[in-house]
Amino acid sequence: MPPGFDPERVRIQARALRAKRADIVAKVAPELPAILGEAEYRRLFAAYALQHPLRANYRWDALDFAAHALAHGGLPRARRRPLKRWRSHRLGPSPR
Amino acid sequence: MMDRLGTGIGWRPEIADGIEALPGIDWVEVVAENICPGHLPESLQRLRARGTVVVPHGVTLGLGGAERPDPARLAALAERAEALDAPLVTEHIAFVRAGGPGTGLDPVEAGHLLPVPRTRDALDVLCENIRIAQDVLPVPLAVENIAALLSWPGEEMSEGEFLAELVGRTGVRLLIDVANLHTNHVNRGEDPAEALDRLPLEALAYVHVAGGVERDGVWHDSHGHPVTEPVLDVLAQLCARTMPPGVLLERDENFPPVAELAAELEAVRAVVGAARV
Repeated sequence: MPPGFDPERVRIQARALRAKRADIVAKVAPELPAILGEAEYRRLFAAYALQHPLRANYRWDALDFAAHALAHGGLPRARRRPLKRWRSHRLGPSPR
Repeated sequence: MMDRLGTGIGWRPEIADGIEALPGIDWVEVVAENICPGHLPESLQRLRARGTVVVPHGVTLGLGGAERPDPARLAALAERAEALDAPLVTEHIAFVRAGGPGTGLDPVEAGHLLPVPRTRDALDVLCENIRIAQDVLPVPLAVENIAALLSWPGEEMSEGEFLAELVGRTGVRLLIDVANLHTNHVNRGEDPAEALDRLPLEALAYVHVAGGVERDGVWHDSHGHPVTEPVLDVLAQLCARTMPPGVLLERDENFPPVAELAAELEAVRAVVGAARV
């Protein structure tokens, strides 16, 4: 952080940006919190967002998040399978 | 003097039916990036057919960013203004992305409106970006003061001075969000009266009113909570100085029954009406 900023406020701003981003991704891909459960979705999304700044649109963000959760989320099989299915479906031939 | 708009509400798909049923809605605002000019939602088409004015409200131009406004985004905003036959378009005094070509950094989208440092240098860039936008847009542009959680170090101007200078140099109009003035009061200790005293009132296009919530001494401009008294008080302070051409209620989250929005609109009308006497 450049000098002169209030670190506490920057932390609050960063948290607000992550939460808003998670809200929007949940709107364009409501299957994600449905598959993962709301609390787990929020937790995993926050971890993903810390490492992956938003670069393009929210549909791609949803797909990137799903890939991240599959690779690093330590998900039980019962959640991995529907998440994987959702991702390949979204990546499939239909327009996105 | 700006065209009279009257009382309006932010049109969102989640409350489209409710808005159609609300009495006394003179106009609506749509998030420009969320509509497609050739395929307007039917509800919006019905509103337009009965004479409701629709104003496109952009959120991704990032006029306060260091880079020039993206020609494709500007053209899209212009196209929406024409498709909606809008009397004006609005955007924000904010930056929304950084990095990218020429910076040596990967491009990053904030996904939200972030505050411009109120310095002479940042004002120069903002003025230039606004002039570029004004050249492309087919109708007048008004820009909105945003709600900030943080401040830049080394700021040289107050919000009022910054806005006055911006208008003086570009002729841009202002969309004043009274909830955002309240936000900056709580979060940055900036008295709304200071900004209101310095505002070039003839540039006022319309006013935004919205709800938020205070958590641990920080005001979150959530647009997902009811409009509070302090925000209506800032509206009253503004109306004591000038009668705004339009006032619009924004609700983006946690949508209440339409009767609640009707009551909030009534409260807004009451404040504006009281100032008129």
